[in-house]
Amino acid sequence: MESDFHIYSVSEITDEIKDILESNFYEIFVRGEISNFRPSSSGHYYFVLKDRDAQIKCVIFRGNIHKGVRDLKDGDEIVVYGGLSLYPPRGEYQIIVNRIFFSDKKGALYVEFEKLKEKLEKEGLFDAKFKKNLPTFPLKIGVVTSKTGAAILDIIKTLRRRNPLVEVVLYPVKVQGEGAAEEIVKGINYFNKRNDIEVLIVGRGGGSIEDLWPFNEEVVARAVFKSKIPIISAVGHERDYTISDFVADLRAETPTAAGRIVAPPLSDYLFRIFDAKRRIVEAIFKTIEDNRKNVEILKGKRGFFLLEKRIYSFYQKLDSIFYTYEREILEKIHEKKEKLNRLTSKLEHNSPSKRVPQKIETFKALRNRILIGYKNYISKKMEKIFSLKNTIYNLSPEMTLKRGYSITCDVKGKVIKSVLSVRENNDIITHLMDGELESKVLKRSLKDGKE
Amino acid sequence: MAKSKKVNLKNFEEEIDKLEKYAKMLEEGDLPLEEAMKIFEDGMKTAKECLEVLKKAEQKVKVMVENESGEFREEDFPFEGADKDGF
Repeated sequence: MESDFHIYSVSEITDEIKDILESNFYEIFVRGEISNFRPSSSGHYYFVLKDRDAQIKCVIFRGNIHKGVRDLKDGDEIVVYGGLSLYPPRGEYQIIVNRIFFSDKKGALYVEFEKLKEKLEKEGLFDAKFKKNLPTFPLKIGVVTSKTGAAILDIIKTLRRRNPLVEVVLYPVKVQGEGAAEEIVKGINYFNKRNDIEVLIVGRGGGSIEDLWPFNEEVVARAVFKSKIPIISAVGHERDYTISDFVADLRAETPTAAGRIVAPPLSDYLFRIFDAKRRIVEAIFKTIEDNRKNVEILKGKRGFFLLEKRIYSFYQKLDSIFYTYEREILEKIHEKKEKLNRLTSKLEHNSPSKRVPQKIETFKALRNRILIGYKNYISKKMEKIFSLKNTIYNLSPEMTLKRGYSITCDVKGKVIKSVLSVRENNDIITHLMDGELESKVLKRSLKDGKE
Repeated sequence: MAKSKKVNLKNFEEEIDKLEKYAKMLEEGDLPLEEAMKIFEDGMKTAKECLEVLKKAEQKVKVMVENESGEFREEDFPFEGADKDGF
């Protein structure tokens, strides 16, 4: 054999095949006919997708089961969307299915999707160089979505929680069905005519492929591309990808995620303000203190008195600045303290502790009863044990020892029954009728002569 | 040192940057005391105003309404649903 041939192990070659398969076919649409469709006890669904000349195994994991999957049956013509995966222990590859499209009409939509995606990609509409930067802190954002859908509420809720400074302007549109794409385009164009909107969110909540379709239309893709305002696309759930997601400057997995991405949380700013303030206060105290120390050195020298006076005037100034800017906080602290005091006294007044002593008495009595019961139980057991002891005595090791046998234990007092439970050099203790012997194991041999 | 302008939504971020710059300047400790004091005072004032801007934050949500002649006007967006969720 040529020595420069690399000999793979089965695992190695399988790993390489797995790598090639999974990195090249992670996002595929495959059309075929279902056969051998079966749910498993774990909730996943297995089937084989085939056409006249070939077949491929498929699995839909429990988390991906969507409406209609349970109604699938052998012979159905479907399109699956997912990625190839190789399972090394069995050397089998299969499609991990993310979505299933049932009819030929849906299959056709996907072909259309793929075609448009390819076309726009070739034109460069998805190119990173065209992606605009999002503003770090927009004060006014535009949203193009339905007025009654979940998306706008999700966005508002997220912003209210994280950043209520951002003003939201909604351009309400239809997000599915006839005419939706045109309305979305109008919305994007409308905001581009204003000059106060810093970033746009364009999207909708989850739905079927048909529901999400407007966001796969070319007019929408082109309007997103043309927009001067950066656009965050937020269509459906994590798994839904639309053409506008690819064209947009940023894709958010969901409308809620878009609400998070579009503006930083105010808590970041709060933290920065408080931190800077703390540093400023610490530094000014240190500065004054350092100056005061210098004055100490000059003590008794000419001009000392004036310097000292100056330092004290700085301290006074400090106080007055604190008073001006921190009064509110001081008052608030005071207020909180008062409130706490009131609550504390109220709490004491209604305290359960007044009722507790009584409960404690009941508890003590109960505990005593349990203790007495337990003691009785133990002493009965003990009696029984004593009476058994005599019986056992005659069969006991002690009697056995008297007959000339011995018992060997390890240092922990565990009886050694087999030579295998000790090693050479272990300490062992042998109990005889009248005492113990401590010894070291020199050698151990099994009955048949093996070590 | 430039007189500090009033903090508002528009210059809010810059003002926080300024606060952090002040902190650094004071920490370096080579400023004359009078100047340090001025920076300190302006810093406290700025911090207070920044916090006030945050405190007053109240989400405004508008919805665009188009009339027959194609003109738009803003209306308040009714989001009771969002209110009930504990925000």
